[in-house]
Amino acid sequence: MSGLRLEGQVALVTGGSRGIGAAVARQLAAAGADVAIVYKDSEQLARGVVADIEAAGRRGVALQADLTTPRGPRELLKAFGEHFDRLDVLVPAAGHAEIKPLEEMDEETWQFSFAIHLDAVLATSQAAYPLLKASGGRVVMLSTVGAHAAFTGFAAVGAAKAGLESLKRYMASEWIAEGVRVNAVACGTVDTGILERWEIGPRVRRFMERKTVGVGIASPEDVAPIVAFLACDESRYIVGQTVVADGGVTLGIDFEQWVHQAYGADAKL
Amino acid sequence: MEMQGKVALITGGTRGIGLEIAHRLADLGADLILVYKKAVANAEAARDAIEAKGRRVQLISADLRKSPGVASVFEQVAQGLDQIDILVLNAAFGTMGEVLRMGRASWRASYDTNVLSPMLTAKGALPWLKRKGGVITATSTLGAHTAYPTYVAIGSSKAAMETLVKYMAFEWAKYGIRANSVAAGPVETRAIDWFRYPEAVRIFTAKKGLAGRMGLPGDIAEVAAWLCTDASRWLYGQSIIAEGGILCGIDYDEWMEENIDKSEFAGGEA
Repeated sequence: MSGLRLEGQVALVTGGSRGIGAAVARQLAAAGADVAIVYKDSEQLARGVVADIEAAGRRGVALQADLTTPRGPRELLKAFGEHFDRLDVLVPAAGHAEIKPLEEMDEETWQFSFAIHLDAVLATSQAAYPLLKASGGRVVMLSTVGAHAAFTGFAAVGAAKAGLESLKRYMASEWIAEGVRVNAVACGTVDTGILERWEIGPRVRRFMERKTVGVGIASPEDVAPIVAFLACDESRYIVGQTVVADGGVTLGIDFEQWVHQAYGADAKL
Repeated sequence: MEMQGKVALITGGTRGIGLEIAHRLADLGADLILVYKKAVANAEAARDAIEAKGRRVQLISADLRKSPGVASVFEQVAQGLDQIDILVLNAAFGTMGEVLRMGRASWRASYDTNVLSPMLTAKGALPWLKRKGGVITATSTLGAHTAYPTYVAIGSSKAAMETLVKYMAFEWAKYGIRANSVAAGPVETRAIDWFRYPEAVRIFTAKKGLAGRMGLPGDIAEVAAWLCTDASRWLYGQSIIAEGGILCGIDYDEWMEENIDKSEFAGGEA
């Protein structure tokens, strides 16, 4: 049998109605999994993703939940249990990113970022644990290179995701003995429509286009296969790690502009 | 003395690692603002000891977990020494327990003390730090870089804090402010008794660490104080891991000696 298949398995993808979550849901369905996606407000979009899952010949379900509430994650797993009796893959992809420098940071923005990127992932993973343990399941988290290096105005997300990546190490080390594997993918800027919402979006886009020469700015479809790999048995020896998928943006330092500044625009690199 | 005329504000500065940092900065000439939660006797003893070195000390009692507590600190700073050149983010709290035992309230309490509070405190101190440039040093833990048993709430929140400190360095260098962290391996403070098996942590640290002994508050305070001096001027947004060599490598032979019944190897080729 060819690899990277999830036939007979069930995945739960939060933030699955759009962006990376939606692409992951489609990818997991293409790999053979039935997929439940979780949305907060965008029912229309969620229906579209379910239709895509069904078009791939798999079962798709859309569940509404606000995972930042104290009971949200447990109620989600209860609702999930009404549709499926097993869970193999959990992808907590729900997120929300606002650009705000620390000097302008308010408690509400800060705490909401931690609530959605961290607390919700912990609570959802805890609620899903009995099912994951029963199936030898996998959790694949979404992080950002903004957790490893500072990006303009990204502190609230970067710090929360750094907390998440540490949580991932603890979950992985505590749960691997029960056969539950936890990993993460740290993305660079992904073209999910978020750039259109940020005032600095056009600048981020120009920067990323320049810095990702050769691979281009990431689409959700660039990230989804990596998540799918970490969800499949082929990645079974990867435990508690973060795969950085940023097109090389944080790999090294690009000297081009400084060469041109010092030696003129015609200087050869 | 390098820090003569400078003022350092240290959260959790009246005991443990914070107190050791306070003494070192005082020895370098700094006056101190020591923020503590509620152990008055400790705080007064710390003040007396540092005043005996000829330094000025302002004691402030505050609950830093929420913004009103943080705001009250800076109201008192304004009415007191009215100066901050060095900010040491040291106050910490955490609930011990495995991931599955981590309830919402204790999880949030750890994050509020270890991440939200440093963010609010640094913001509150910023107007003073900006005056002549300054330095921010945060104390973190090895548990932010690796997984310890029952340590998820502290380790994970400190990982978030280290990244927060990196963003402070990134955003505030333009004001002449540097920010770095020191991540400590196990150290003999009262926090060690938060572990379910504190004696195991001591033995582990002494056996596994290349230094061959348990960590002491002074081991970490030296690094933190150095990060507050100009000698570390080329460091921005870094976390220095100080753990007595625990993570340096894995020694099979030592593990065998401690874990395997020797008779398993004894027999065989006679």
